[in-house]
Amino acid sequence: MLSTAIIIFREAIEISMILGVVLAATRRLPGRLFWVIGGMAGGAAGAGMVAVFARSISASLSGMGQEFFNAMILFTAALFIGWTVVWMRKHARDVVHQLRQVGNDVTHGRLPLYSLSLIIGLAMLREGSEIVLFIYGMTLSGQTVSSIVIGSLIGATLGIIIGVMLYYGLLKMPARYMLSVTSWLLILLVAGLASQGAGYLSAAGYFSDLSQPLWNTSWLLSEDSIMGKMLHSLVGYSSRPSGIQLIFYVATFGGLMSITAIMNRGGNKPQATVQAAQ
Amino acid sequence: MKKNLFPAIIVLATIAFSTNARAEAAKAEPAKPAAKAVAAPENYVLTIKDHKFSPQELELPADKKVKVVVKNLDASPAEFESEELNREKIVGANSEITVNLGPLKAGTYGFFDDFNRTTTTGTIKVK
Repeated sequence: MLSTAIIIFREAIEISMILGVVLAATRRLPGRLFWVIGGMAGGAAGAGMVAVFARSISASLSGMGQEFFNAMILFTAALFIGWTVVWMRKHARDVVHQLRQVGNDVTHGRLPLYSLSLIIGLAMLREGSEIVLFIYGMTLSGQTVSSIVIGSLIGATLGIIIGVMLYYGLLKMPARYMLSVTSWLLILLVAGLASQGAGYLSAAGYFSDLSQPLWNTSWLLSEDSIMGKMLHSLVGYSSRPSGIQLIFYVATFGGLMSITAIMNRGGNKPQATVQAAQ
Repeated sequence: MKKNLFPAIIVLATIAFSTNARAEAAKAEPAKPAAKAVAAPENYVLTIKDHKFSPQELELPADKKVKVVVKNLDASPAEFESEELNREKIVGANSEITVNLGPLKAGTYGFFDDFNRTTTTGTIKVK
């Protein structure tokens, strides 16, 4: 029961931390609840499907299907969370000055809410499929159903608590800081997802001359520890990053920073026209 | 304005892919006589049975690309994972997967089944 709880907790942390930041960042979106729940339901269903088809996914693409599949999910999630950051920055002034205006923009479909569903769904899909396979394995290994269920519930609850704490921690922040803190966190999250995606590409055999670990900080913080796992999910901490992972991390981080910087610099004038156009 | 970024991204991507392409090209050239023997990465087998890895300690050559085939003979799925090797891959029940490794430096690398973290572990010794 304890081992079940620990493993479920470790997988659930990743999902719940991503959701904690993304949900805090998009908290002002009216009518998002439907899309959030939709994303969760889709993610849970998808996780089950992936678990069922795990073997075919694995065998595809010359046995490297799992690596490509994970890389694809990570890059897609990175793309859509990156889009959310850009959208947040674009509407930052509106959020501060004209809440009502933003509300109207969203209900008129300015921020594609399906991207929120997609982000949530993808986060659940990847780790969720591991949870499904793990629980399936437990049922075969002679554990009683009650010990599996109780263990899973304890692990999932603890994992969800971490995400909820992160969510409310961000909400408790003064509104001025909140926007910049969440967008920083999201940018780091996107960079982390991109570098994890790159890690899967090198596991599939690409960038082999850039796949050596550059350094090793596992003596300081093991990726396997709970703290390491949390930082891994949130900002892409890796104790042994490879060259290609670092390139993806820095390029994604730099790319998003430049986009948001350009948007801020291009500040007031376009903003006025945008508002006039609306 | 945003267009300014695309060349930068393309340049980065090109650098990344060209280094890879060059490496592939270098491998394709039969410059060294030894190249023939090195051409195909060697296969090593790791078996999971009754939630135990066999061999417990797998020996691999250093500075060489290798493929490790992980065979799961159990009826429950496993996940081959190693923080040291940066690998994480699900091995379905009664099926097998291939893990690309290397070139690795000499040393000891731990791995485990993420679904049975405490009981199902092993090490890879690179010489």
